[in-house]
Amino acid sequence: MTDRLSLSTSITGRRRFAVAAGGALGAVGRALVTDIVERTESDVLWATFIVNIVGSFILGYVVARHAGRSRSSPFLIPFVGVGVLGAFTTFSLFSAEVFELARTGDWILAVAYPLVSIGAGFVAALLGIRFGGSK
Amino acid sequence: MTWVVVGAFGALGALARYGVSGLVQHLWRTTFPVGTLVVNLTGAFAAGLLLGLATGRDVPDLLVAAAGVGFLGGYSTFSTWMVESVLAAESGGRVGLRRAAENLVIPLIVGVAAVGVGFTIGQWL
Repeated sequence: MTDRLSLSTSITGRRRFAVAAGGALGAVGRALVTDIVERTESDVLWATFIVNIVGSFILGYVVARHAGRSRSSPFLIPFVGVGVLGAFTTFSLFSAEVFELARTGDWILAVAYPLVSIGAGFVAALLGIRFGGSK
Repeated sequence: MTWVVVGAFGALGALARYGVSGLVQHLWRTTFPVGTLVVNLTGAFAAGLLLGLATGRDVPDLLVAAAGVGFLGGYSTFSTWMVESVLAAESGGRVGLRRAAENLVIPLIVGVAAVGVGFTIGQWL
């Protein structure tokens, strides 16, 4: 009993809880963006694109900000970085969309969509890191 | 209801990613972010499998919400992939740029291929 108690209050246990709680929020946030994009009757690709680019920027910002501070919470990265932003952004849906575009013969988008996503995601993460790193 | 399911399975997916990525990175002593790569490739394969199973069949919306939107969406990650690529590029010089390029191109190609393999198996099942 005391073992289980100490396990649940250990740093590792609390980190896991932070990841799970953040993951729930991130996944719901992504579903919310998808819902909004669907309501505007735009292509659902936009939802994945938006969450991935916005998430890359914020993660870059948070990581750089955290690295520059000695007394930052040990749960900040597990909660916001691993949990919320990790779950908000998605690789599986992204790669499945690229595959679907190729399979259905939409070759222009099948090439353009991943290239633009990766280019914009890289620049977004870079900008986030720059903003987060500047004092 | 759907939101609760997405949230719960998103939490499980994020936890699984945390565990798998940490374990792989620990076992495979390399500077290449192989933990994220393994997570994303297995996630892409599973997404292909789900897509293959769902294409041409009637799959309940709640199952797609739980397994696809929730679990796999929470499990795989795009933001970590991008930030790790930028950090690789900033690690210095031509080597850093080459590492960043590798880390961007390899997961994309193998990821889409993994979806294809999963899809084919899913259709066949």
